[in-house]
Amino acid sequence: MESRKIYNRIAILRLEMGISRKELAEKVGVNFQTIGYIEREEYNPSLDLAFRFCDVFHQPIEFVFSTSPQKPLSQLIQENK
Amino acid sequence: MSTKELIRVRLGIGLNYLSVLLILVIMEYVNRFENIFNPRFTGIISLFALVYWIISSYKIYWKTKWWKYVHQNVDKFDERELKFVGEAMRLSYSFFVVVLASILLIYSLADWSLNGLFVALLIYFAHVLPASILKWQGYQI
Repeated sequence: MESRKIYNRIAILRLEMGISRKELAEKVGVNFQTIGYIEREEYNPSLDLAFRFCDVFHQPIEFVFSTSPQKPLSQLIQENK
Repeated sequence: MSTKELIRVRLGIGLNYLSVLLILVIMEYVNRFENIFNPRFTGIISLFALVYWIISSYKIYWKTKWWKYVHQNVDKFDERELKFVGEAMRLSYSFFVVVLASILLIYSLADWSLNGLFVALLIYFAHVLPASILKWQGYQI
């Protein structure tokens, strides 16, 4: 079965948090290169790993991951005004 | 991995395998027909191939620790690495089995006997093939 592409906001959330890929990798328990793969959406994380990201960022899973391209955060802010 | 780096890696792997193949061809085929080929000439070529193979194997597999992928404990991999390593192992297993069975078939049909060097190179091949597949595809681990 071919899996769907999973879009995510990990790169932007990581930058907002001010942590490096290596630090994020240590927090979720993977190799730092895996963070790069996930940020570039070249690898779909498991459900367990996805929840670990959400725990680190304190965000709901539907905000961090999506099966369709996600709107930029600036657009979301404008829409919520 | 940039395209330039990937080409360099693939070239290194390809030349390493070519040097192994050249040693095998000289040992297994040319030496059977000594009267056709000059033994000094083939001796020099096989020596060059052997030196190149040792140096390139050290640089490609030993120094970079790629050879360890076959032996490393799975607990040390994360889920992405495990997926990539598993895929490389699956490919290398099917490829190796087909190559080995074909070689055994040819040798049995030709009524040749396998020598120690040949078997040693097959063991080497089995060890480095998964790492070669991983790096050939440009995966970062």
